[in-house]
Amino acid sequence: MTAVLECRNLTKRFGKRTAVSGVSFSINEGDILGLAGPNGAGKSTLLKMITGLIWPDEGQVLIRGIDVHQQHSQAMRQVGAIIEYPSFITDLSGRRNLDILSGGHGREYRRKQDEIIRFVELENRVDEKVCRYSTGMKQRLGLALVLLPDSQFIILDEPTNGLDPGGMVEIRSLVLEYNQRYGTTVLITSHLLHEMENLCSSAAILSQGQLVAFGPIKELLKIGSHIRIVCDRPEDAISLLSGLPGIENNIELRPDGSIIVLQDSERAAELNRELVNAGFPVHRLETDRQSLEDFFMTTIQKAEK
Amino acid sequence: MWRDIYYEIIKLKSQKKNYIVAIGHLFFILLCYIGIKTSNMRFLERGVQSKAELQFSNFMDFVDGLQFARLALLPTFLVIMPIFICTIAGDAVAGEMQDGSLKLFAARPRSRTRIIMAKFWAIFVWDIIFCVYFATVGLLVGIALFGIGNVQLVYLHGAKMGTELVMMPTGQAMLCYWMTTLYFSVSMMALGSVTLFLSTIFNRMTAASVGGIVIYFICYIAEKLPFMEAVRPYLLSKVMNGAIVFWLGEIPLRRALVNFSALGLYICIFTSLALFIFNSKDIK
Repeated sequence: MTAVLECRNLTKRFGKRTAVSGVSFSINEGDILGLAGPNGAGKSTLLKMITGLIWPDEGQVLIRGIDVHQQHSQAMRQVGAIIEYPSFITDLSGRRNLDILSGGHGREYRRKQDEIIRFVELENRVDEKVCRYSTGMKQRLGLALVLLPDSQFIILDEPTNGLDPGGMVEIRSLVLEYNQRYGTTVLITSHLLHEMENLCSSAAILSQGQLVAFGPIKELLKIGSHIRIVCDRPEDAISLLSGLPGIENNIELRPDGSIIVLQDSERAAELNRELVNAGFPVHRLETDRQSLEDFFMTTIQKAEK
Repeated sequence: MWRDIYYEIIKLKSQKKNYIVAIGHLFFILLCYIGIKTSNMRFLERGVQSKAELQFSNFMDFVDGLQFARLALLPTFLVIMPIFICTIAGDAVAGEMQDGSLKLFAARPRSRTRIIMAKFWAIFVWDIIFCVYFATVGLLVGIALFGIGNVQLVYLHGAKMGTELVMMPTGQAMLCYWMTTLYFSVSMMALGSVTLFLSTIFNRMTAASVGGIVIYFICYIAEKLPFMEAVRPYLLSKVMNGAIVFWLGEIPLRRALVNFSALGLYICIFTSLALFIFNSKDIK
């Protein structure tokens, strides 16, 4: 897998306050990485460093191996980004904004522009002035902008901000569809963690300027997931299950007599089979997979302590 | 680069302040017309008394389209245009920083040097367009109201304007008029560069524009003070308003050279500072 984006030990201070501290992570080709964190965690500062808007005090940002701060033009080729709200030139049309802000030109660009405008369903309004657009239309125009002229890596900062639930679903489907159709790499921030869970393949969590969790969402959610078993003779059952690889230190007996195994749901069938084969009648077996929101809250609380 | 300049010009064109300034100028032209009609140009008497061979019974006979345009042009270039150039140069970086569009623009594969240079040239082009517009509108309105004569009464003496009257053929006066316009359009870029530099420092358009206007008028006031003899020729406003040389019988080459060199220096120094600041700035 090729790393499209690589952040190495990024640090940024504003006066005495450290906004981002020693953040390192990378995104591979075709991945959708969700960046989450409470307000003031340093998400926007991090994105601004990634796009070269802010100079880091320490560290490096490489896009396809090119240093963003040393060779900005080369590094940002095929990168589209919207940081914070998409602020367009309101007295110009949507199409004119796309031309000016994306810097695209030529016949191929026009063809791509028309295709993207159709893709974000703005074909009937794109020649109107942006000041007449609704918030949802501006967000869709923003999405069109990041995809133009030929972006292979897009950065979206809270793209569903200010949208109604229908608009959120629409933007999420557009991003997902584009990623699946063209293999575009996406870095996205959002406060809506269930949205992120549905959309992203990986997640990074920032707290107080530090990266406190990073990895594929599936792997992150395994942490804290558990299986609850209700069966006869629970003490004996624990002795049996403790002998299985990976279970030994991750099993406990609750006061209500149920057994809690700190494992992902993938092992539920195996545990059930072991118990039944050993003659333990299993009355109930539940898997509890934590959501990204649960994981986020636990991680943030731990980090803040 | 050409495309970037073109896009910057489109951005400038979309701003409503252009229309406000154009309407303001028309209002000023109207006021000038009313003023000339009601004063009957009697203020010229001071100049006539010092030159015995010029005797006029009615000064209004010498008011034609070009005379009117000249009278309206000077205040336009001394006050209206500097304020206008400060607002557009102040808006160039700080205004876009304020409304957030600079983030969209600068996060693209463009060098910051290219962004500033495109803005500089776009402001220059816009400045020339407006200077020519003001000069043309003044002239056309003047010709429509007063027609055009064969000779022009020019109100100057030595290297100063406003002390004596000189007669000049209309063709020569017309050439001087357009040379003045051309000089002012270049000289406005000295103030444009100063304000562009301020625009890279401040994150608010108002701060940058007001800063540029304040600097210009401080220089303008300072140049009027009697003890400013040594620094006067190099003050921003003095250098900018050096178009007077084109109305003199013999153009003082040394003075013209000093003016152009000082203008060039102002433009180079402040544009370089703008580039330096913008290249090292965090775009928040």
